[in-house]
Amino acid sequence: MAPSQQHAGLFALRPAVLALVAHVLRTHPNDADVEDCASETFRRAIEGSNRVRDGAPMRPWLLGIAHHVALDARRSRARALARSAPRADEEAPVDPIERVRDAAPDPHERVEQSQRTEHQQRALEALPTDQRRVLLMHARGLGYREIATELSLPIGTVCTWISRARQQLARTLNDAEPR
Amino acid sequence: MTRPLTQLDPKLTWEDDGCLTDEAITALADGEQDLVPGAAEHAANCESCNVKLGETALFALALAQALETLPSHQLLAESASATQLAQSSVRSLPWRALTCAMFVAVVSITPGLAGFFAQLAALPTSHGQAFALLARWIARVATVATWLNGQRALELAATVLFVACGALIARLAPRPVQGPGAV
Repeated sequence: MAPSQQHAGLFALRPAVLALVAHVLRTHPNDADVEDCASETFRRAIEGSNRVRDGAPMRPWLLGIAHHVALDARRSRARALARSAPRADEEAPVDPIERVRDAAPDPHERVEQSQRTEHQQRALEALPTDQRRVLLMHARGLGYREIATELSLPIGTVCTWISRARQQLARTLNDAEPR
Repeated sequence: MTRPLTQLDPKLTWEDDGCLTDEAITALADGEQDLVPGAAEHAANCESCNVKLGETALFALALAQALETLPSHQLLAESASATQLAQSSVRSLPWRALTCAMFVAVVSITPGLAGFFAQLAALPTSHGQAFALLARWIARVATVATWLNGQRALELAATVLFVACGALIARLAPRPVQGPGAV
């Protein structure tokens, strides 16, 4: 894909990026911080777009950058708030063991991850076949129009199936989440 | 400015209260802005739609990340074969039934092959003769007594099988998709 086309595709996601950042920062999309985060997201995306392997979907990659940028901004806000608040005592020293702790997931986390993957797999299998196929084609990076053309479906049907599939997945995964 | 070839039906884009539908928000979260004209502007100024858009984008991201770890290739292949049956214009034929029918038809015609070349000379040369021949043949088949004759019974069985195949094909043929979002 030509870089200009690739960038046009990225900027089509601007409303989603703004909304995602606003959601993470728990603020209004017109907030200056949201705009800053969105600009930073697109700056990083354009700089790093040549590192994305050919054919890989750009959408999750861009939203992933936006998520990271927003989380960083939220942490910065929290730190700034903590600095401005009067502290009763000095910060507790960090346990040296914590400093050298292995960053790899422990066995318990690995079991949880494996269970989560199993739930996701089952939720995906429980989707109606057509919806699952459309969702997976989209996850592979195909746009709505490409899917509609490939399956000879109206564009509205593609949109409806993707929307319903995601809603059903969200419901199923929420129900499966251990409380 | 060029107008996009396809857009979502406004009924599928807007709720009665003027907010965006789930489908429009999904399209927006997936960067399909030109499918839903005016939706981005609305979402930027409507708090509830913007919150929904943020949630949808975040869920779409989480789902994309989860799908990377799942064996989705296999699922996609399975879905593909099932969807093709429903959607593809290439119809799947009941080959087993057709082969049986062809076999019965060939067996039934074999005794008559000896006189085939002799009959070639007597083939009708006009539409009138052809209709007369067809009518005679139908009259012969319709005569109940002749059905008990071995060759006629085989011809009849082959005919019945062909009709059954036709009914089966008609039943398996894909139906047009009537999604609520059909544009």
